[in-house]
Amino acid sequence: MFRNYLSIAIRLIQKQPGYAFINIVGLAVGMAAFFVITLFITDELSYDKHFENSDRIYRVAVHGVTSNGDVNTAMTSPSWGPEWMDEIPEIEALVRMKPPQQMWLVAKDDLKFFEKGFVFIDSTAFDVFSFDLIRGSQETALSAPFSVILTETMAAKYFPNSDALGQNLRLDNAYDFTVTGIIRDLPGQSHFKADFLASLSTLRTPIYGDNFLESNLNMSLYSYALLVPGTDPSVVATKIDAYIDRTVGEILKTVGATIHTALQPIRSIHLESHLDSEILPNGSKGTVMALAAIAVFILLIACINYMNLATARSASRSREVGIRKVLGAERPQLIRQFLGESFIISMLAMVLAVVLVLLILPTFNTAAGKALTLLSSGFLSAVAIFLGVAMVCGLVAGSYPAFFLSSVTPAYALKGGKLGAAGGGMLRKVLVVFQFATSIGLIVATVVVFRQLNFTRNMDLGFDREQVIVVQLTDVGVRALFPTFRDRIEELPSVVSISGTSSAPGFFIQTNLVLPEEASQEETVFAQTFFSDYDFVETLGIRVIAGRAPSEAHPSDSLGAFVLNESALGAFGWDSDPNLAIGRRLSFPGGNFEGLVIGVVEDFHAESLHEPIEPALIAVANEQSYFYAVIRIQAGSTKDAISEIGRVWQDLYPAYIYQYSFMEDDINELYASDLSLGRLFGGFSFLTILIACLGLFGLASFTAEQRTKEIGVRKVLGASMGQITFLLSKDFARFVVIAFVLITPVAWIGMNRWLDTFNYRVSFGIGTLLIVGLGVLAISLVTVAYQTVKASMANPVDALKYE
Amino acid sequence: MIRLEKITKSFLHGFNRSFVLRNISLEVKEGEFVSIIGPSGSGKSTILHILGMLDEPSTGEYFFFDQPVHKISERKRTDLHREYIGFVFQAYHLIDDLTVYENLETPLLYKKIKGSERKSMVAEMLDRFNMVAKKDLFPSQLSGGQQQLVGVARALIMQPKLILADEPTGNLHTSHGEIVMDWFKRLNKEDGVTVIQVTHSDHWASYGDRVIELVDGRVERDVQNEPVPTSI
Repeated sequence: MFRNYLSIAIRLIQKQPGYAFINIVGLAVGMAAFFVITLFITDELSYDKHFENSDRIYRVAVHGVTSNGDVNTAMTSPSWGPEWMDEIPEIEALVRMKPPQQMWLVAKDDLKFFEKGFVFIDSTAFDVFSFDLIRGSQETALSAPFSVILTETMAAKYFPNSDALGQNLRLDNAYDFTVTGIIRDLPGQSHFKADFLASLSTLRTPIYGDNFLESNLNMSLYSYALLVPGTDPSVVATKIDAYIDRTVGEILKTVGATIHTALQPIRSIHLESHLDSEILPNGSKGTVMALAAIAVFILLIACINYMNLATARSASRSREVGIRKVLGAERPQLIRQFLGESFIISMLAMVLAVVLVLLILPTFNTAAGKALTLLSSGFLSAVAIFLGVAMVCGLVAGSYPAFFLSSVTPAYALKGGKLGAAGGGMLRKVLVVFQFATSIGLIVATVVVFRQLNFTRNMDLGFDREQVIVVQLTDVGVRALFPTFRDRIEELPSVVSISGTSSAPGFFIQTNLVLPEEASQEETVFAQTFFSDYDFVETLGIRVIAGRAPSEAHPSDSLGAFVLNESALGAFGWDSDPNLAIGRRLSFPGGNFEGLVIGVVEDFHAESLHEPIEPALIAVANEQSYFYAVIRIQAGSTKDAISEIGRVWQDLYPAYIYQYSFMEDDINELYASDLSLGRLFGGFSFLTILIACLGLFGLASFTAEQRTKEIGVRKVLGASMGQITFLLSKDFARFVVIAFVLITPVAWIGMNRWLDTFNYRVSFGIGTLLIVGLGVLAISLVTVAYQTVKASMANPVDALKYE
Repeated sequence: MIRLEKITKSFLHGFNRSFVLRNISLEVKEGEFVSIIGPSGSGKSTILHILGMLDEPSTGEYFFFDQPVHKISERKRTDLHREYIGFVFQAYHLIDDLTVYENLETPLLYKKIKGSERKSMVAEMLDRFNMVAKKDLFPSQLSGGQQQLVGVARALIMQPKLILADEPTGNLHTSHGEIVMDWFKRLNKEDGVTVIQVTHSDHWASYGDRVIELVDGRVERDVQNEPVPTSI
């Protein structure tokens, strides 16, 4: 019996290779997209699950409320952790971790690299995180200052030909660490990156200042707690709040601030935590859900193709059903036959899908910033997913033809009854409309994402982001020589101007509490602060609207001079007239820095356009505050500038690596996740429209066939070729129009919601929707054109003889 | 064997009900060879479909070997027609994508007959109809007459007690028609198979022992024929 079905299925493929091709390719593309997305989602969901007890590990996050804004940070104060450990019994183990703000320079003799994964961590690291130590002792490896544990990869990188254990590594050209252990590499699916585990006790030494580990109100490292099984994390958070209130509550009260903590399960950090100072850029639950929906839709669309084509062909298949019934077939046997056929098709599609996945993955990885492989979720699970998808597709795609065709009354079928038109017609239309609605929706999403990205790229940010090079000043030693560096850079012909600064657009922006004179403590304002050189305003091309920019010509500027942006004026209540601000005195609470306002500038966007413009102040400060040098170069001399600056750097700082970037790129980097979202939408919308058009092409050919007689009669009655083509095209155009009307509100609401995550966004109205709709209409008409024109050109006599 | 009581079949066309069969009552005994004749649209094919359980009457009762067909389940009906009835069609109705051999085999598959037994039954049938050389051809590679012989062979392979033939010679040259008709005659006389055929030609009708004429869905005439000597 099975052989009988198999031979029918194979002969059908041989007899109508075009039909089989459309079905197999359509399904394969759908399956490949589904599989790639499954890989992505599995990867996103696996973050930090590799740690034993990961269900009991929590990171302590701080939510601070001040009179002028909220602070949500993933960091806590260094002194807190050990004391919580002592006084809160629900905490089974606690570890503090300090990853580098940017990177550390690590050296073994002449082997020098900037390392992102150099973290300082408590000796209790092994109590919380199940790092797999293969050399050294868990008890002692991290107890002494200047101890470091390497991953296998790092051990091989720095000590390629010798045993790393017991040898030295030099950090930042200054501090020697002894290798006390080796751990296995950590999986990439973690919200932090650790290639080096250095003892946190090292930080009692001057790396971060002598009292770093004792500071009790300085959110500057991360604390992780392993809770006793069965503990409610909110109970622990309450106890931590009580501790904070007891120890630093008084100080907080004087500046009008309150602090609450929350415990974040580490498994949820990657997708759900979006606090300030996340260690690495996190993923987004929204993207995961959007992709999951896309995966299901694409697969569904591919299955719909199969169903559509099968029902379109049902007229010819129904005769076979009739005969089989006459010969004694029962419905279940027929259902099995048709399901069997769709299984064969879907198995063939699966094989093609594996090939497609291999082709798609590199592009997908680039778009999504991942390193997925066919087997990255494991061989068995890959096989299981593929087979599972093929089975489900076979079932879903085959179900409609199977149940529909098997219900045919034999007498009717044998008389040549037109089932295709009568029975499957309505459902088929609904399915085609669904396909096009999905396609239009995805294309609209793609267009909107790219329009917004284009908008962000071209929007006036309040300064000139082009022709600016950012050089990182990573180290105290580098900063100390900055005045010399600046003077020599200024002399270069390719350079317009240079300024040192503590924060730069596209990078981490520091914020500080600022207090105007004669104001009470409650009136402090959170402001982005750029501690910088005299030429900062000039170098970035920020526009002055009142007063003046700092200048060496005014010696008093070195005693403390501030430039405010317009938003800062608003925050201080001086926005009626910018000149009001000039001459006012500002200070940072704590009293170590104060000065006069000398100028006001237009608002400028230092952060991504997702964020609103915040109060900002530019403060003249000396070179020890600079983390970056921003250098404006002559247009057209980019190459010269890079090499000339590099030569000066090598000359002055032979021990350090010359690291530069273009500010424009740094700023675009802020939209990396938006860009990858756009690329993903783009890629998948291409696939859906491809599948939908494949299906439409097949459908058009069957419709043309079904209507051969009608076309013949019309031609005999004098219809022209154009009229016939129009008649046939009209029906397909109707699908697109209905799909458009249905999807428009959904797309409009959905994409406006996404755009609302930007504080500065493009407008998105019916125009974009109409353009996409017309585009899809055009694509679909071109798709069916071949069939309709062919049908309209046919000789009417042949068509009528056919009867 | 077959008893119809007041069978009607009607369709709704908009608000009008049109009758294809009106109050047909008749009886067919085992071993009869019945020809049903009548002009186009007289309901010949419909009554054959009803007899073959391929279609259901709108009202009336149908007893097949005293079983009330109008009352029993679909499954039971399938069993009945699998067991007792073979069909031959004007348009042959072979499965295009199966070879002659496979077409003959299909009804056996549905009856779940074992492989070896199936082989011998198909082989016997091929032999009987002189089609051994053609067993691997597809229907489209055969002439109409040959296709109809495959159709007859397929109907016979289940050794049915009743053969229902819907204009079996309608698409054939007369000479081919004779061959098919002679087969029916022989099966009827030698194996005692009941044959009911529908035709609109008096010539083919004359092969039957009994002729029923339908006009506008009514039995107009029901007469016994003089036996025609078989040519074999």
